[in-house]
Amino acid sequence: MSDARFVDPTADAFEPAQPARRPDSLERRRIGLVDGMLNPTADWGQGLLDGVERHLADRFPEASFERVSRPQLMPSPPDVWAQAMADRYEALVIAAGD
Amino acid sequence: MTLTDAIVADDVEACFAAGWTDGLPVVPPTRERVERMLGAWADRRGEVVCVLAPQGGHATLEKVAANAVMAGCLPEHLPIVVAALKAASEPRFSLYDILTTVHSMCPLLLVGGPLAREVGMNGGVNALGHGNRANATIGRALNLCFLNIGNARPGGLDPTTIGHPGHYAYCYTENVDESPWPELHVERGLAADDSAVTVYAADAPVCVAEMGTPTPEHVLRTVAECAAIPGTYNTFFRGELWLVMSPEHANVIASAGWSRADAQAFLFEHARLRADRLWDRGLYAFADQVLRPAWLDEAEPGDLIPIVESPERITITVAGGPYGGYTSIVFGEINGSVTRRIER
Repeated sequence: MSDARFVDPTADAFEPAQPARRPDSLERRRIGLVDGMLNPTADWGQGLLDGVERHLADRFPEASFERVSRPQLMPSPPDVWAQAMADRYEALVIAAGD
Repeated sequence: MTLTDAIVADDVEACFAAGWTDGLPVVPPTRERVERMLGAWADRRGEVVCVLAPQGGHATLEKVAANAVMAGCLPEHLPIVVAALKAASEPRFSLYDILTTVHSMCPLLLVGGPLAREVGMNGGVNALGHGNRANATIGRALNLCFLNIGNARPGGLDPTTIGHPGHYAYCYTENVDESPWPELHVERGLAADDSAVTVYAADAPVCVAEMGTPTPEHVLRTVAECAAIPGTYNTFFRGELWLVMSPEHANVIASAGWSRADAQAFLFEHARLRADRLWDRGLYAFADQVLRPAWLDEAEPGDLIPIVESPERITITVAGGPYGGYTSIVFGEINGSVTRRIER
């Protein structure tokens, strides 16, 4: 709302998200495929990730793939989990949705 | 209605239209009011107090002051709101999780030390309830900052399934006159003349009555049994458990020669559930390789599983009126509470 009488109580600036460094190629990389779907029992993410894995394996035959379940409830801040993923994998593909 | 009333009413409606409110009318954050709120901090208005989840909004002193005005705060409340925001935004508190989970929880704010008394906070009758301006507006300001600066909007980045009335205000101080024990911040290593805030990711309070039997064992056994139930996050993750104990309960315990640590130890021993009452219930379906508590696989069916990891993870505060044998159990999330000194 632009009303000069008021101080806008909403944020003017936001912490910019730092984009992850992109590898030049996925060949010979260790790639994590994360099922991040909200419903843990529906298993909807796996079908999507199957297709992603087939596609990437065709393009990068020497890449390795590993499936990961994103924790629905985190015992530590999300940044800690993200760092653990960054330490383990050189690339991460996340199936996100509801 | 006078002309002044009409103008004020229009400003209030303008704040609703802007989406700045928590559903209740707010005090419009006019420039004059925000200047009065900032007071001696006016020269630092652009200083970023913290970055607020979930969207990472920069909480400048001016933005915090504007939200404090809307909540109905007085200028002397602002340092408490600022300290609470700093505590809540410490990474170990995991505010992002708290504000974006579907679980119905909300930061509970405890204010301790001389400043709590100076600004007239209530730790006595109805401490967790309504009727006190400082408790209500400081608690409300915190949540308005989450809403407006962090952008934790219900149905937007805040997807809470059922919701929590504490998001209007969830704030109190301890009853230092009636409590047999030092305030929480003193127990955590700060000085008695320090003023401090503690934030805790909290469910709604569950009030337990135990009035017939004035011994520590009776009081604490009833509290322990009510705390050890399936379906809470405590039962599954064994994180911190928070209690708001009435002075009557606290003094029953203390007058028998028990320390607060004795009470914590007793509760730790008695607030337990058989493992076979927990398997396949509550959060069990969410257990995965990351979150799977060791007890899920290691326990025998008859093993008694404590609801916290250690006695120290049971936080006991003392508040409320002098009469009535009650303790409110406030179940928590995974991460623990954060205490921080207030800078004036």
